[in-house]
Amino acid sequence: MPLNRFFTRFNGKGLEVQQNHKSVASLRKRYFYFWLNLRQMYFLRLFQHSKILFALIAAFCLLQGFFTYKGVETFPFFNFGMYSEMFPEKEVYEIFTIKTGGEVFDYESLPVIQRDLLLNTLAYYKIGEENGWNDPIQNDISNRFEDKVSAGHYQHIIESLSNDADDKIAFQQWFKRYLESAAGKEFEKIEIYVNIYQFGKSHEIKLIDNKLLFEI
Amino acid sequence: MKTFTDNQIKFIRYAVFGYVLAVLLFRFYSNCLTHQLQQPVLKLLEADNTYWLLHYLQVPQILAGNHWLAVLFDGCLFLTAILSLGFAKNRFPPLLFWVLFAVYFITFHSYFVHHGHSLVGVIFITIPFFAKSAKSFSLLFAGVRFYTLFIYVSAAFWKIFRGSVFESNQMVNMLKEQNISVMINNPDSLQAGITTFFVNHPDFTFGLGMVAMLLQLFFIVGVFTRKFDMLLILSGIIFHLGTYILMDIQFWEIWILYITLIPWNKLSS
Repeated sequence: MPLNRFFTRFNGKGLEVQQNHKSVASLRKRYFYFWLNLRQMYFLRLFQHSKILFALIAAFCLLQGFFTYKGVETFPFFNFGMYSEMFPEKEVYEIFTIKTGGEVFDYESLPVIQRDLLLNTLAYYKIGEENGWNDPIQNDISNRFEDKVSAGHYQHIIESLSNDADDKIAFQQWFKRYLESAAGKEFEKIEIYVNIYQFGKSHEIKLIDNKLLFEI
Repeated sequence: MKTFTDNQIKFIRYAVFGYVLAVLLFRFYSNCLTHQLQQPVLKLLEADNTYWLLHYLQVPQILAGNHWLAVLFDGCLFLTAILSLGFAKNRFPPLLFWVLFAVYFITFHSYFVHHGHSLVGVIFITIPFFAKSAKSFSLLFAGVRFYTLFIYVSAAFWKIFRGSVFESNQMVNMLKEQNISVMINNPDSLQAGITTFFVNHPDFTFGLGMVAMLLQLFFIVGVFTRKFDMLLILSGIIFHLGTYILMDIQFWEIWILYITLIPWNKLSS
């Protein structure tokens, strides 16, 4: 669409449109001001209506910009990468197998959120096992609070924000409880295996290892 | 941007809180409301200061750790959503709902050990209902519309600036990681078949990744004009249906934000 028609169609308030523009430079300049005008219109109206509302929304935008720039999130300032991070080719893929009374439990048949809750927590438990239950968040807590608050208060922060070895058995018991509620029946025994797979040259999938994560 | 009439606000309220109730019912069906979490143990707070604060105050621990308290909490969540739907002139039920939902959001994602974004729409679209006047409501609602555009445009920009969208094997690697479980556990399923096809046709899959990014980038049009808002809704739905079919990523709860893209002024006139 030619720019002059574009201006005519989407004429913002306060923008005078002239149909007889010939110069491209002039049109570009107008396009720039048109864009600025649109950007400002919302905030201008907000400011005219309520200074408090304007201040709140402007503060939200600034903080959102700050957290986006930092690449971190603090509720309610979110970053929407939507799987934009790099996915390098993996040599092996780990898949959990849940056995209940010797039978493989079909977690794919569960609602997606419920299935993901089971698998996410299993993956996180496995990381805990590999780290010797030293939660990495404890380093952040230490940097922020150690020597700045009393020993008792510091201990409360650590216990409130991080996981530790005491959570290992408690997690296994929780997992059984949650799985039973998902399946709608009780299980005498459940076993969790980590199966390690590899894609072959023609993308066929091969099982290369199998380890028991825990049983309860 | 016109100020909504009381009648229009009433319809928007029905749409928003009707959708909210659908989200809550779906969460109930998925066994993911607070009382259904069965007193969870492991938590992941990441570097989120609000999560830290709430856990420091023991709010999620007490709530999720006590079954009957959690039942009461979930009941209040439903009750405030229903009250918000019914009492068009009262702004306190939406305010109370927002506080409860924010607590649920943080509690659930802490124990889900992944800070997902599908419920973000509910957090933002309920804010305009705190407004006293129709003018304030209209301005806040327009602000949430801009936020909806921001979500998709920023997602496209993250893909461009991180360079992942230009990586030839990005989509194939993503598909393998997301779907290997279904390929092993249900190899005859439609999803396993689709994944095998796309893994075996990497050039086509790369093009698909590019299309997905363009569907998100298309939302930038909404900054300049409302004329294509219905197309933006279609674009968003196609994007999320595509990611659901291909990668089993369920994101329909965020569609609540598309209510801000519906031309309410035209509909009611």
